[in-house]
Amino acid sequence: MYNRLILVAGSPRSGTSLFAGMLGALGCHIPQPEVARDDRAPKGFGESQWVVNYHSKLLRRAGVETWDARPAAWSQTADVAREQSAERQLQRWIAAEFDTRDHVVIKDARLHWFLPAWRRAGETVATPCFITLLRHPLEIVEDKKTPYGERWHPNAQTASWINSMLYGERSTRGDRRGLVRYEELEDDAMLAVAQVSERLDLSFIERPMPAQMREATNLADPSLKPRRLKWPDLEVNERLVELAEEVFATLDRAGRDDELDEKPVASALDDLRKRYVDLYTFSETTAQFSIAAKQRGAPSGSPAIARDGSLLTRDMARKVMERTKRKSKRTIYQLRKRSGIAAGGRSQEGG
Amino acid sequence: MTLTRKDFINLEQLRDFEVRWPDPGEGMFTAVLRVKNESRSLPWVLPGVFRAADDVILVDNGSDDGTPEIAQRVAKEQGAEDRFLLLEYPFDVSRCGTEHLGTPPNSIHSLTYFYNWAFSHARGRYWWKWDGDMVLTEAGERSFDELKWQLEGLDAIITIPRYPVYVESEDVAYLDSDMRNREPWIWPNRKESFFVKSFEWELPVWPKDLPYFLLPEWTCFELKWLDADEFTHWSKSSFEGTIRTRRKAREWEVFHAVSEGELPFGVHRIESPGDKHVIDVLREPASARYVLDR
Repeated sequence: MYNRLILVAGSPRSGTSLFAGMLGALGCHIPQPEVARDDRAPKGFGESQWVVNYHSKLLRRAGVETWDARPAAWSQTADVAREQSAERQLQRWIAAEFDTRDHVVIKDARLHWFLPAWRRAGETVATPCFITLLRHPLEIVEDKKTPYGERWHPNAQTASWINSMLYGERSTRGDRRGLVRYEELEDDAMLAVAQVSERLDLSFIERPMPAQMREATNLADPSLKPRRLKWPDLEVNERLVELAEEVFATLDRAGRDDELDEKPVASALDDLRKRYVDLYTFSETTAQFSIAAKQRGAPSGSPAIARDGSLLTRDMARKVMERTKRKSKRTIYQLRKRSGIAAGGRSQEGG
Repeated sequence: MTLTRKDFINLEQLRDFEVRWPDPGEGMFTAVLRVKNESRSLPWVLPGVFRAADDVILVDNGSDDGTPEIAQRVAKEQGAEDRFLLLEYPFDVSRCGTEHLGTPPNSIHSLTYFYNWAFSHARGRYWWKWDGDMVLTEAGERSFDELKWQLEGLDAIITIPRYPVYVESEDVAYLDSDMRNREPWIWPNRKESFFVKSFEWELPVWPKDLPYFLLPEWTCFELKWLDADEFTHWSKSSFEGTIRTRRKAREWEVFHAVSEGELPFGVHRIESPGDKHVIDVLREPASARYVLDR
């Protein structure tokens, strides 16, 4: 299929806005309107507002943060994305974007949670191509405050980086995909774009004219320069540091040697994922009392607690009830409107 | 926010070839020609450039046919020695195409770096990028003269139409009127002006939102000698790959067709009356009819 649905994922500060923006400048279509630029991205995010709204809505329903360290969050987001109404909405929107375009770029900080959903929805009209930007976690983890205004400890941020990289890779295994190392983007952005385009057979690369290439070159953002921090500066736990460094080294090497799809790399990443789940479960169970005290009555989403069975059932039941209540209220309102019955319950047509 | 140029050192750390951007100097047009083995074309190219430009910089990249000596001779003949700067760039430079794509832009071997280094010596108000095989017509020289006062109160990008001319002998040449190329060749020398890497070759960047002016149709033509290999500066023979390289594909086609005695559509055979070189005939205003009557 000639159409290409290009999905650009990665952590904040990993170059996703730059990369998506470059693809847009070089002739790929970023669905309009785009998210307005601000201090975080003075040259623009390269993001479609519709996509951001869609993802935000799903994340709220799933009870998952944009950067969330919980392994369980992946099934929670998959669950909401699989709902028929969500799938149908996405399918229709994608089809409309490909009406007059053949290369469409989707980029959003929340995208990594929904990659399988985009594949399912997109593959009827286009070939989905997944591009992940990789940057060392020391350049991603902020001192207490993320670019999205949340306040998460660097431990939590490091853990969510590990979570997103490991599961993001797993969710695109077997797909047409490429990894762009931030270092490559910094050294020679045009080459990085050309190489990944060749790998993914993105034919738009033959079309850009000089004015478009100038526009693409002008997107380089000096604020993404390396910060040269060390782990002790951020007070991240050494077990997380060790795991984060291993995850980065494995992906970095795979990207450099173009071996991301090789079996040994997949095995190594599977092993890292298991170690991460073990570490997270250990941390979560150890902190169970703190969690319970802080979030009494709210679903935790932890697989350790789910093993109890009854708690998970109660959580799910509560969710289903709340959802049903909301849907019923909407249905009743719509029925009343159609039949002309006013708010007080009387027909407006008399009788 | 537009990028601005910065001083920088090459990847190979060769300090004698650092890029250092000087303060602007006097004069409107500084012409910069990057050449390799153009001794045959320069006697046609340089006189017009010396007449039109305030300063001329010629950067020789490893010629072995006497190019630098020819350039110095022409500068002397034109009385332009004090306005002429000859520089040497003694490194292999990647050819246009895949070789260029695979070369880091800050390597001494990169076309991009080569251009930045060459232009970092140009101090006129406008940079005039020119090739060692492009001949200004008489009408073209007049246009430059007019631009000198027309641009006094304005910064603009000047685009120049260019046609290929395939030279068979002193008396015969072939003009391809079907292959017009319009490109910006002159732009302001400001802090937003420098070169970046694009997919097949270097790409000039400049201040945003400047107006574009187009010079007349018969301003210049590009010499292609039928008894020489005109495509050594490309790294692959097939040019059909992209919109950007289709011009090269047409040149390849015409070059080989006229070499074999064929005349493709749009190609005119020009013959000198005998008292002057066919290139001088083409420089005259009357030759504009070949491209204006297309």
